[in-house]
Amino acid sequence: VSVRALMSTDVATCRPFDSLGDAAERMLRAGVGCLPVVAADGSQRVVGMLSDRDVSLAAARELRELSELSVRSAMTPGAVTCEPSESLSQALERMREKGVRRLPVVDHGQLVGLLSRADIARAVAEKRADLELPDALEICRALATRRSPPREGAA
Amino acid sequence: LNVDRVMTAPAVSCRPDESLAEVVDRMLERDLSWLPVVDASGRLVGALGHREIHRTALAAARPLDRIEARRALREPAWPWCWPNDTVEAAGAIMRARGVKRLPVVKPDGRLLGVVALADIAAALCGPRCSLRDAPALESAVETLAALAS
Repeated sequence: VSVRALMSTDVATCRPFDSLGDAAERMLRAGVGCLPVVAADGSQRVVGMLSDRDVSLAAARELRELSELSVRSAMTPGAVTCEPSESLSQALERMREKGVRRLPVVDHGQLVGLLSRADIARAVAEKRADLELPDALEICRALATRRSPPREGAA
Repeated sequence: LNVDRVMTAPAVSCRPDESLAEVVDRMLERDLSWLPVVDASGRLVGALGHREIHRTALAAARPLDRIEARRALREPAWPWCWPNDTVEAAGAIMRARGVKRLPVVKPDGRLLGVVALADIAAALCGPRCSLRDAPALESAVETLAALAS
């Protein structure tokens, strides 16, 4: 099964010069814990990732209102990505190897979707992913991973 | 399998009169994404995570060191479970209420520990879980996938 079949396509994003207040509001409205940050030039090129943890960290470090802080100052630059034509097992392997829970899906350098562990779990639950049992076990073990290790080399 | 076999205890927590800046510092220090909130006698009064903190910070339009944790408590209150609930029952509460972690509360209302979906997943599909026992594994995978999705 391919990444394309499982990814979410209606992805909420933000830009580096958006305020953290706007980005936090977008996360709350979309019910997500992470936004891909796309280039300030108006394209859909992914330049970083902004998690809810990044927002809290910046707010606690700077002790200023969220509206006075920028996405750029809080985001994790770079991103581990995958392509829509890749297989689910390749994507899972990359998540595990890089210690991330979500992969922005990039086609010809432009963001076209997001693949999260929750997307994969949903597909398993709906028996949509056509997974072999060992793969399903693998996914469940991935879900059991408490927290990602530091995102070193996330470029 | 009951919650008390898979939970983390004691749990890191915070007090309602602490500032959100202190709360975030503790969350980051301990690598946690949420904290139960307890009163002076250790009784659970709620819980909060990044989402509650951001919503409160946006509404208050103030820095985190000038907002008390009590303002960020989730309404309706964060769900919780008993130590002798089964992991399936705890999982059902998580799913129904849209959270991935629960405070575990003693009969007197005091916080005993915390249980995460990850703990349940580890218990259901951990290293002891064998591919040879396909039916059991299949049911564990189904339970878990439904919980996580």
